[in-house]
Amino acid sequence: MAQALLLVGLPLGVATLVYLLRRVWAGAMIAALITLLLTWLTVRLPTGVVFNLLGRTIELDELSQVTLFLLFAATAGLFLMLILLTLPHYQDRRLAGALYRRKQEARIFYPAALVILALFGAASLSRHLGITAIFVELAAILMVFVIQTERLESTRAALRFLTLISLATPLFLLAARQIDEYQLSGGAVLAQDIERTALFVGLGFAAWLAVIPFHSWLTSTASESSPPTAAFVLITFPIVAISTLAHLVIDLPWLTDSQYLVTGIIIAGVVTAFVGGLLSAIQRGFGELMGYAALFNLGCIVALFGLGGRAAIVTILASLAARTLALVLMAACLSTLSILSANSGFTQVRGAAYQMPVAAGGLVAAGLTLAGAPFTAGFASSWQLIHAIVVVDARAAVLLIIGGVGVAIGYLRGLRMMLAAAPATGNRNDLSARRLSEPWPLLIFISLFILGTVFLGIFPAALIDPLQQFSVYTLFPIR
Amino acid sequence: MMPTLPEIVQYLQSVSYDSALLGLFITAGLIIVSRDWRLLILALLIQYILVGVILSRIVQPDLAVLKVLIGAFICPILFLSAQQVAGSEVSVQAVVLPLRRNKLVAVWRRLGWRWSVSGPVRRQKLAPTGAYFRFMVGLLLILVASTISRTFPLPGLAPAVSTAVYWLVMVGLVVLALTEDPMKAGHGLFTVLTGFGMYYNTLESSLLLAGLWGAVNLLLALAVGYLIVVRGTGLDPEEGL
Repeated sequence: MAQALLLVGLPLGVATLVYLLRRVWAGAMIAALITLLLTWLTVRLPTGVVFNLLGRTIELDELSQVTLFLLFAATAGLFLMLILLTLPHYQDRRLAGALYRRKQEARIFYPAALVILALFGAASLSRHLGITAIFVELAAILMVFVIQTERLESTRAALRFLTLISLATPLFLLAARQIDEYQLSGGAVLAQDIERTALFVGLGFAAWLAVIPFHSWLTSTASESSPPTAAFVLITFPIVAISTLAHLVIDLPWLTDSQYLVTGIIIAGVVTAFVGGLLSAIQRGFGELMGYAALFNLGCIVALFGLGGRAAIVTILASLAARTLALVLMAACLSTLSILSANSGFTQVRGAAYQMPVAAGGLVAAGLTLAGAPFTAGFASSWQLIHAIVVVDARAAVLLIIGGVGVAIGYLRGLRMMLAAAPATGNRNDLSARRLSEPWPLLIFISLFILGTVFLGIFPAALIDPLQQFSVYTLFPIR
Repeated sequence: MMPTLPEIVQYLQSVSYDSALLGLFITAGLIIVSRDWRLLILALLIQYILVGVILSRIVQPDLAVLKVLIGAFICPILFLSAQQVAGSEVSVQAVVLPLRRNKLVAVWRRLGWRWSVSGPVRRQKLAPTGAYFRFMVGLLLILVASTISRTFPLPGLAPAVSTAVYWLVMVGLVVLALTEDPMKAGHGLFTVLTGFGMYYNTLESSLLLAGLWGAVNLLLALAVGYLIVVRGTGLDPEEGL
């Protein structure tokens, strides 16, 4: 059983080696190989209680297995993408300048991401809300360095992220304290105690899950950070937050007796998705659009959580998997486009579709996946959400559809700009003057991801069936 | 002869709750009004000591001393970061002030009033609110904290301690709402966490959680310090001008 500790110890141990080798090719390769190994290891390890640490249970269950699998797989994908983006082009002078900054960022990203994964692993194994919150807080502190990297223009994203996550931790500690008290007393939990705990838990998760109005950490990270690091934050943090929330309601089903918690989760999800989708439609750059599209998608997942039902866990996990796929694809496409233009504003990428058609197409495919459009991996869970929410309130379904359309409009606006002819000004930095195309390894990487998202859109069972095997033993209390 | 730690703790325990609360009104008030980093860090350090004084009468003295020690580690981290940035700010001011041709501002600064009125040049431009506004907000928060602590007293705590917890948390949140400067926001964040810690330490006796929470606070200081330095290093000339 102690093998489960490998999920924490391995990335932590290798991070030091990767840091020492960060300036050479081997460091990146080791980081990618280790995350791939961890991805494989996660689903192979036996489940059950690992041990007790000072009276707190450390346990690997089926839900943790899937969420950790997604975390490791996403990080492996991002590492591979960065390797493909930077390593083969050292000799190409035209690309060297464009990729210099990305290489510098990657040197910090590889070891820091491994330590963050270790902390998330520890958080996922812990069954005590307070300890989980502290591990997540530690990961958030380290993420500040990943978000900021070597950018000197602004500290807004990193500061907002740090502040909001740090403000959530005390709420979780108070909730954990109350939960401990109820469990130690052994008696029935009073209604007022349930409401108080639900309030702390609700506010804490609102900050973690970027629910409106606590969303600024997510959107500013997407717009200010580089695409791979932004994708890493946007993928990993919500997965751990959703996993922790799911564990909490599964372990403490009395929490769902709260008058406000479940309704609050549904309303928060719908409002977040609606506002995120609406704001997506009016963004002027792919960086900002990535943030608001991810916000819309996260709102949908939160709403799914609140709606519950027998298939809730499978639907949420399928949704998280599709989101992971879309964000890795988006990061790959934005990183590829950054070879042409450092800025991902719509005006700056004008005409990019003619030089990098696969990256442009991949960006739109990823955006539509986040929007839950038909024939993309996000459609199955999106359809399930609409189907479930219509029964509760048809107006909420309308808001979610409007949000989804908003995200799609945002990406179609971006595509229109990428298809527009770039104005020729004679400036050597203009896209029309720079005859660059996608590096072929990235071309293959992006093509595979596009095919993957379309395949899962047409055959959703390929995603849902394996997830069902893992979540069959999980009884979700919200019905 | 140097007093021993138990003697110091015994002496500090003689300080009344009301005196400590008054001290917290002043230190957190300075954090909300002031923009001078030296004054901010000093206020934060005194705040940690005052919280330690209050805690020494409620929880085990060791835990109270630990709280003060954590503060004593956090403040130097912030000080060293701010000191690094201060050098770059001086150089920007040397360029900016002559360009502005604002003699009055320059004289005002030399008089040493910058902490209460404007702060360093770049912060002056970023700040959305003035010193008088922040002062009035501080006064308002004292009233709000006193009222809330009477209406919703925290279980098991003296009224003055309840007021102190509410006051620190509210001041910290207001500071966070008013600024995006890492130095000032960091102080806001630590003020919130100090207020929370004061309440939480009376509830939780787990050494594991207390130790982890202390480590989190120290690492937070490192992250805030990093952002302070980054912000200072990346000083945008347009911001200063």
